[in-house]
Amino acid sequence: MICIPSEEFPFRLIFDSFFYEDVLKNALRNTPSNPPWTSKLTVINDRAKGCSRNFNTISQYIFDKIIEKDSVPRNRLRAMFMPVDEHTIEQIEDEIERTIKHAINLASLYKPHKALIMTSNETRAKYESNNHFKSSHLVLIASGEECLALIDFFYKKVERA
Amino acid sequence: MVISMNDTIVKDVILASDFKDFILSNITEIEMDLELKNDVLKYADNTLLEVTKGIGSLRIIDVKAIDDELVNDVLGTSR
Repeated sequence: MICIPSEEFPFRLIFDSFFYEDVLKNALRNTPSNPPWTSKLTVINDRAKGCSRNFNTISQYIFDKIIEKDSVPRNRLRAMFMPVDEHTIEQIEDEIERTIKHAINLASLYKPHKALIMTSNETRAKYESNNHFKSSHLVLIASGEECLALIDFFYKKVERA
Repeated sequence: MVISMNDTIVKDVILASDFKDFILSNITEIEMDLELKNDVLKYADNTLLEVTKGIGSLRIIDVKAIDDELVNDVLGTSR
């Protein structure tokens, strides 16, 4: 029997550059995981029921910056994250506001109708003090170790035995 | 029989009915690397599931060690 587990997760994930640069890279260096965190992200993104390959989202601007700065192969990065490019939102220069508005937009338009922002501990307060974040019931936030615990939890739901 | 899929096989042949027949009579496992699987399974799912019902034991496994490559890509240690 073929076994490709999938799971309907309670909220979509949206990542910012602080997650990528601080949380993810530090975890890869200092908190070994089997499989590695990058592979767990890929598997979660792939097996999210109803939004396969579109579950882990990131601003198109950040996506392109990572490719430009770090030379990560586009297909590899795309396996982990779907770039969201809602044009009006992408014009917002402030990354915090841009990420919140992407999260609200995704949660408003598509199932699951909740989104969770993944960021660093140092950046979390900037989100929590933002009026757009405070006024939305659709958007949640996790930071630092919480993000890793959540990735682990989601991965265990969809890992193949 | 175990078959390792490459891009050509998957993209050009997997949806062909004669390939389904070939699987039904010969294949017990398909080996497919993670990156390829992510790219093709979405459209190949139905066919693979249909085939699986026929033989009951088809299994896809990840064969390439791309986990480390992905880490190196993100950390820049492959460059």
